Amino acid sequence: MDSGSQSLIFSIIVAISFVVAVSISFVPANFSPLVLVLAVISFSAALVAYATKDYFFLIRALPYMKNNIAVIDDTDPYYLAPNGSAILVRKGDTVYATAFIKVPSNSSATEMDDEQKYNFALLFGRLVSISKTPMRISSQLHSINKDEYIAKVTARLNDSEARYNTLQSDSKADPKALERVKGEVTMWRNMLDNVSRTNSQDIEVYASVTAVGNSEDEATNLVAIKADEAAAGISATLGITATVAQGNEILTYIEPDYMIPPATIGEVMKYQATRG
Amino acid sequence: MDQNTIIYMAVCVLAILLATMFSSRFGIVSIFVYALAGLSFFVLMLMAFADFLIMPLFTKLFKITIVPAKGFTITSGQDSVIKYSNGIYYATGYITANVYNYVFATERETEEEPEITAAPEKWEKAVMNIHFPFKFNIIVSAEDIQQHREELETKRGLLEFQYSRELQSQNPNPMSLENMQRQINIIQTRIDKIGEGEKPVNSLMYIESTAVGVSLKEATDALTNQLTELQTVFNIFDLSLTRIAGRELYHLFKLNHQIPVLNDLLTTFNVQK
Repeated sequence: MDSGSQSLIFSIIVAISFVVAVSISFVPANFSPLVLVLAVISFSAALVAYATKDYFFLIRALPYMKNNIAVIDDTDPYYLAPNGSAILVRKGDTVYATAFIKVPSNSSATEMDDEQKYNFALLFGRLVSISKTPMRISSQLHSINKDEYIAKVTARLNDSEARYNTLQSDSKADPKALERVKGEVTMWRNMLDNVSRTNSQDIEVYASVTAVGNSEDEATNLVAIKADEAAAGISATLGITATVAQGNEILTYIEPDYMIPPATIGEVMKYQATRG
Repeated sequence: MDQNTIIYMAVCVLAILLATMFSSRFGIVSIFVYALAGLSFFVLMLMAFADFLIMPLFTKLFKITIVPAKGFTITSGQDSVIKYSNGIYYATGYITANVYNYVFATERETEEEPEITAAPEKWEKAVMNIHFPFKFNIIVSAEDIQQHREELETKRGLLEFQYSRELQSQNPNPMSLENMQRQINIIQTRIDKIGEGEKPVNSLMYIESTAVGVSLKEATDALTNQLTELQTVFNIFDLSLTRIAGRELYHLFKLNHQIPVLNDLLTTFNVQK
């Protein structure tokens, strides 16, 4: 993509190095300190020129640096496709669409005998060779977003506490009913404590494929076809139903704050503190 | 070293040599120039073979942080990508996870079965020991079988020709003959495997982990701990596990949003593997 401008910048910098090197030959004999300066410039230019081979993305940002921050790109790294089935990256007139395919796994090696384990490993070998274009297969361990669950348990706790208070203020209330509601309050409170305390994690396997198009629609359609093909291949190979991820499911795979949702940060930090 | 690297290096070395040559008539100053030329050559070699050491050192020295995209920052050590969201720092780092390219393993087909059988259980045990977010990624692309087979057969033919020439020479070198025979056996094993239905694939494996913190230091320290733990846990798979720093970190960050074509992948990830 940037190879044209990379070659141009390399040529300019290396030309500076050569010109400075040649200019040393014109320095009069009594100006020897100048030679040292010119040699340093020539050597530095040669090194910077070489660095453009692998670090062009950084070198081109250095002249515009402010407060020691080199900005390579100040736009969003991607945006969601209108239908929510892929993420899009625009580079000039080209649009790259990437779709994610969920690969559910319901079996464990502990339930398998040696032959089944061998066959399962071979199936994985077949899985990695189903696509001739690069396909990524990822296995991700991430924290579960417990926000909804915590809200549900809190609502139940509030409800049973309200009932307990009503019964307690009623002098004619059945002591057995009061005891039962008290037990209910304790149960929800314990559950809430446990949910907040324990580290809840989930492991998910997914594949991702990218397609290139000249417009958003073209890239989205092409990646949908590619994702369907990959999903069909994965489903047939592993005997499962692979589906294309949508919306927020995609964000769990690519955004760190979805991988560790705000509700679970406390427990992750607590775990980090025990290991640190 | 690929052709592109050789061209870049040749041009840069030429510029350095030219400056050194023209400085030779300046007496004592020329000695300093020679020393600087030697240093430049050394840095050039480091950039060619270990850019992940020299470039992060440069950005760390000048305290340069990099913004690869809106909302993300690469630390000056070029070993973590930071996202700051809702008062929390999310630090993400990467480890290479490439299979050691044991040449002799391709000659020992019979020993592979127990290793394959143990793999699913090893994987589950490894994952059970990890209590923080991580991703194990493998990017794969199947090769054209016919083309790959033809390439292997051409290589085998060339080696067989060299072997027979060495054998017919007046003083055949037994070491060289043994080496060539071993290479022929390796290629033959690969051809046989393709004949048995195994598909050749290009693959790139890496592990990614994210840690959180209320300060940048807390998040990056936690990330370092997590990556070290991942290296320990995944050691059972006999993988080459190295923390990634430098340009590959930037490219791996971009891989989250777009998978490039095979040629771009091969040229981008050719050193740290």
